[in-house]
Amino acid sequence: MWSYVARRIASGAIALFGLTLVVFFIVHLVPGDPAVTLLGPRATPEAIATLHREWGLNQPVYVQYEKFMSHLLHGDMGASLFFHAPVTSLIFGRLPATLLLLAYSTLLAVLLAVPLATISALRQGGIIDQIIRVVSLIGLGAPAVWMGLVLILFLAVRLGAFPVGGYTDSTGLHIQAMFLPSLTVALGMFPTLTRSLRASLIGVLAADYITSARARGLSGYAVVIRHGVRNAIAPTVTVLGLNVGYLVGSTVAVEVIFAIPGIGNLMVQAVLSRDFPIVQGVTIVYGVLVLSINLLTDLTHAALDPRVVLE
Amino acid sequence: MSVAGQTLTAPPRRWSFTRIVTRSWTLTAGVILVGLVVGVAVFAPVIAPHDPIHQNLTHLLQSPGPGHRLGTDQFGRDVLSRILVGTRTDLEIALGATFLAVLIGGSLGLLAGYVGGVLDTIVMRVVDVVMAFPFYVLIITLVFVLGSGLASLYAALVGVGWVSYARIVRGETLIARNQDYVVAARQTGLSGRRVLFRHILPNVITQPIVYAMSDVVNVVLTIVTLGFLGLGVQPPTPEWGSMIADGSAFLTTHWTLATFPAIAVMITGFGFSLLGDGIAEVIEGE
Repeated sequence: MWSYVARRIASGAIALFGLTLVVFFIVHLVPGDPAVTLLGPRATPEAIATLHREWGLNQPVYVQYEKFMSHLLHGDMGASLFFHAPVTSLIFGRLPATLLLLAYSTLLAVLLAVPLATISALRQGGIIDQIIRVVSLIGLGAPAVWMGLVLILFLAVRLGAFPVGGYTDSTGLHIQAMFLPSLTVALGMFPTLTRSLRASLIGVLAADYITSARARGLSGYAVVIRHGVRNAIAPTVTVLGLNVGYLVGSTVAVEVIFAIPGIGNLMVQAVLSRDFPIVQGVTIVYGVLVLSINLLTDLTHAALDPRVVLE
Repeated sequence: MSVAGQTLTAPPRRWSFTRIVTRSWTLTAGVILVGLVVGVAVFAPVIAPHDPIHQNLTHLLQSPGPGHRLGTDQFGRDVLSRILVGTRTDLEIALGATFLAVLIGGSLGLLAGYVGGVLDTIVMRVVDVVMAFPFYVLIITLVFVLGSGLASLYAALVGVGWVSYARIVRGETLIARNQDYVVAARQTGLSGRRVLFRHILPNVITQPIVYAMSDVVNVVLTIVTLGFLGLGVQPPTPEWGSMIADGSAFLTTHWTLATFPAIAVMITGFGFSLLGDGIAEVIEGE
């Protein structure tokens, strides 16, 4: 187990290194003067001069990268051109809202997907299974931005059941305030989850130990819950990990719709105002987030299914 | 060979139309829906009742009615015409970007799997790194660096999209290259290129095509999300995502404005999802 953990962390570290290279190069290797290109046609000469000084653009690329990395390792991601504040503190101030949204929406998606997939798998080919299948297929193509708007209109504006804005200052109100944004993200995620969990449940339910459990006289649902879901959840954790890139991405748009002060919202603002140190910083933080979640899902998978470690 | 002779001597066709229809209703429904959407995209300018970017300032925010079937937006533009022409905008980018991603990623995966060695290591390391980024975030970053516009939208979608195909095709190639028929083909002295294209390629192409169908759905959603955020296709070009964004400002009074383009997105997504499922069903049945 421990050698597996070590190997997994090592490959994560390599990807992390590559990630910093990519983020460094996509802004340093743009054609022409990167400072002019990135700051846009309306950039002031002062801003361009600041960039040249900060980056040492006249030095060789490897010196620039070394500088970039040494700053990064000291937690220094430069200063925002728009907010005139350190990027690191801007990002870490907004990280809690994004993390809460991610965790909350994953929870809601699992709460939606597990029962639906269980019913589908038990009633395979039946009417309920077909309905769930069609709903999932339609859900795969439903734009999260529009679902967010519909939830705001009907549950927040018309019914007044939830606040329109997503994030409050007091901790106790987060659960209520973040419900609609999290539900929006969860609605975008549950079709993929339901489909993969249903497929692996059907596979598991055909196994011998399920037949023997049934033969011992356990009822259908008891068998599924005691034996089926537990064995089918491991591959689903992997699917969750594989889709985390999409999941994290959809939180960007949802943060904008619900005006949640998270890093996705920060990134969109930064892109629109061409505030590239923030774009660079947020991209790295998102990359680290996805790498950590992938590491976590792989380790969870290994803990749930001992066969993984042997591979 | 004469038609009559062919019917006498040829074995039953594997992909007979009626066999497929009866075998997979999913595939049939998918083909019909996708055909419909592609048809709309191709003939959009002909079937659109109005000019999609013509502003009629005396007919602002009209409800759906006889003159404008789906109403008009805040500039008095016909919503139905904008959705129909928007089909062309969104689908052209989605299909184009997916095709390029399959082509580039597939070729790299094929070479990496077949040649192996240093090339394989380099390609797969790059794939790992690109996969470490959240899909949307990397695309937003690329659009930011390359500037807004169609070319950078394509570049961003392909630049991120190719990795999945490289990974899938490489995996399939690794299996195929050790199959008996490939080993035999190589031992008879066929050139590497011939073995690669005539013997390996046909056997590794199915998986990426099935995946591409579900990928198109995600690419459409990405284009729509970017358009919504103002980072994708720029106005006044009709595009579903920017239409949803326009409509969101009038949500409480004219909720249909954001909903009609969203329904167009869902029909397209549903069609391609059905198509992907259907193709997978038929292949598994073989």
